[in-house]
Amino acid sequence: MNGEFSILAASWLGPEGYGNDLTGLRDWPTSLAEQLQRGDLNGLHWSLLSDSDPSRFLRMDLMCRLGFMAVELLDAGFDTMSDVRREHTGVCIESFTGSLDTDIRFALTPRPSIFTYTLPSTVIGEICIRFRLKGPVLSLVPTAPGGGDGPAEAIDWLQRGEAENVLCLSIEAMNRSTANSLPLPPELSAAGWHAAALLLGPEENPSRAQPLTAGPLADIAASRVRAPCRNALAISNRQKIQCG
Amino acid sequence: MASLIETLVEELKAKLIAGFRLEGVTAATINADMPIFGGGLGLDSIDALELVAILEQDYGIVITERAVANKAFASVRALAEFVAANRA
Repeated sequence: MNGEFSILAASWLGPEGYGNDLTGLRDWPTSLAEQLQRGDLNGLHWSLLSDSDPSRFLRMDLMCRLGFMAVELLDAGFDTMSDVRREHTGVCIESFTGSLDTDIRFALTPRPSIFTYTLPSTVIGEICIRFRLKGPVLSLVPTAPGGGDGPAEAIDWLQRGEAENVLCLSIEAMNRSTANSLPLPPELSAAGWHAAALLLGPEENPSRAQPLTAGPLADIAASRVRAPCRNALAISNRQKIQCG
Repeated sequence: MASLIETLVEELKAKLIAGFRLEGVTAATINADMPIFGGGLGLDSIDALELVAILEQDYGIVITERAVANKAFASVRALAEFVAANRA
């Protein structure tokens, strides 16, 4: 798609497993796998990926949880990134189902803590707060699950110099039980779930950077995770990706 | 009255933990005399709204004035006393 900029890191969470471009695709713990396969996402928990503080995790809606996990799973080194670089790291999120899962839950149980998450852009705020990112942000609603213009928008920001790096996410977050609670259009009820993340920017680590190819963001991330970097260095000890 | 307040203190602690999904927090770790907000529970302004909703739904108490909320939310014990004095 663009020779100047590369995929610096990729991650994927979906029914079949989770991982990043260093680890490859890992199986969910057996006890959780069956739930996730049938679209019951309530068992997803921060502790599957990280030992770091999960204090806000359980209070988030499903979309925020998935986005949070996808970014953590990237192992992109945000914790050690300079303040200057974080100030120029943008976030672009695309989601076909958006906050629909939360919207339905709010309609069924109108509470302030649920209302907070009835916007698909809320996940951007949560991610920016946690990882201290201050670049441009954008929330896109594509016309089909997994498809969108996130990477194209990211390249535009990078080429214009509006951002030095861009975090692109594709998130579909529909709990099966929520989807079944209302008669939804087939494309929504069948959207399933996943969270995919790509960190884009100028190539800086030849052992990990890979060319950005054309296609839906979710497919690009999934393919990077299914074919992990052969030359990658040892995986960070901070990551807990060890269950199988 | 004292035992009623203590019962309410424990009841409200349980509601806070469940309502705010406070992971790793137990009733024993919440000091009933410490501030509910701005303390170690990590609660924010949305949680204040949630607490107002809990009071309305579970105890029939409607809070419309900030000054009343400030006094009632000073601590779990203050909240228990407020509930005991005002619930429907």
